[in-house]
Amino acid sequence: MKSVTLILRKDLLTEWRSRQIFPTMFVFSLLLVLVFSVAFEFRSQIAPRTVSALVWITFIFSGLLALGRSFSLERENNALLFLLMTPVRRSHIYLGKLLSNVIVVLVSEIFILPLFILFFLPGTGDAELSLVGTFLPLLGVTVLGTVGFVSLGTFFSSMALSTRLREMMLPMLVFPLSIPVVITSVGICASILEGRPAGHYAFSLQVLVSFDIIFVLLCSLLFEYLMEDSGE
Amino acid sequence: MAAGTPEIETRGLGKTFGFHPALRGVDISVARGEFLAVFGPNGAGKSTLLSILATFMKPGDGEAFVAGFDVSRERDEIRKLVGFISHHTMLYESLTARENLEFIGAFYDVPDLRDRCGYVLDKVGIGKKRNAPVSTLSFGTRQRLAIARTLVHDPRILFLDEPYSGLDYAGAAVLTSLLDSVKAEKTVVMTTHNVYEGLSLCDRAAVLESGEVVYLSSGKPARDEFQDIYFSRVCPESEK
Repeated sequence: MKSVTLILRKDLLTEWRSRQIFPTMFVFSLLLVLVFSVAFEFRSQIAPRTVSALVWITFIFSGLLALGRSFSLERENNALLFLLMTPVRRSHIYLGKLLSNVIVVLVSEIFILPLFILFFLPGTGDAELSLVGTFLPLLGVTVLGTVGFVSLGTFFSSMALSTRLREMMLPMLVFPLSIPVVITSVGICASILEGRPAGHYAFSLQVLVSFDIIFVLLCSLLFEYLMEDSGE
Repeated sequence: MAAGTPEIETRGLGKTFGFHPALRGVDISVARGEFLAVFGPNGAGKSTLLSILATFMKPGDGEAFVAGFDVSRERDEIRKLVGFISHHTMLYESLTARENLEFIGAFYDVPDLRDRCGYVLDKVGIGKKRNAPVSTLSFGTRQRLAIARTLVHDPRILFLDEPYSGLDYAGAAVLTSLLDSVKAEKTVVMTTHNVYEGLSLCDRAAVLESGEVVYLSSGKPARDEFQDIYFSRVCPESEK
């Protein structure tokens, strides 16, 4: 796993120095929240499920910005080519990239989530909001949903690298396959915001964890094949 | 590897992109410690040949062995032994010169990596720029850094794909003296358009044209004789 850590460290260092992805994601998310807020006439009564959907629409759209950039960094000067000539397992490259993307996307989401609370949660109904009952479970679902979505996005970002219309290809590949993760995450978030007990969404949580495991395993296996013949 | 076994060997090596054959029936054998210069016009298949030997690309037909390992099936073993220098620098812009070397060197488990990085940076003459981000370096300095990064794990075999492209006079001189100093202990295959540099360094020369080996010397060719062969084979019109 040393190679995973090396790639993770390199990617985070690159992002820390260039500060390209995070500010872009945050500003884009802020604009989306403002647009949603205006569209719903500021703090009007909004169903928890709608708020959850808006949160995840924002996460997915802003997350795509990070994912699109992830492998294009490797494309500069053909750096990926040299990395592929080292005796590193291709799946380790994928896992390193996945972890760095998850961290960058999660940090951005942690900044975005309070904006939604500020703009939308006062109007979600009678449910009482608390740190342990609402915000920590919300954070947990955010992490799980992000892992599922980013695992697909990281894989397709590498695939789109060799296509001409990569900026257009990435959302077209990621959106349809992310639907199960997004629907499940939205459902769980809605249940949490409605103040339902954990037993109500326990099965959905298991489904979400299963999606994460399947996507990460499948994508890392496919990445091996994809990258071994990337010179073709 | 048994004594007498070639360090690099291709048998009927072929590669096709779509309907375009990039390599056709290439048979090349390079002994350990030998320096083979491969010449040829653009599109002759030189880079494809090196990409296959460096395990970046799978062969279409035939077979190829590097250090006795099959390029199709034993890629990881080959990757530990080879270094690759290209006209693309393949560097990370946001990282410093030293960080680029340490990042790659760590994959090879290079002992005393920090010291080794300092040593190779000094060797290519950019030791003072070790903490400068790559984005601030000139193209020539980046090329030297790319050479240093390739040498960081002290590879037994070097593949050089047009290494002189974009180098200024000083950079080319550093590369030539560097190759001169390491060629006794390493097996080198270099593709180049630079007939003068290529012939001065090599032990043997090959010419590729339209994916086929049209000339392969058994020893170091004389420059005048080689130029006659090269221009008559590759660009006969320029002879007229």
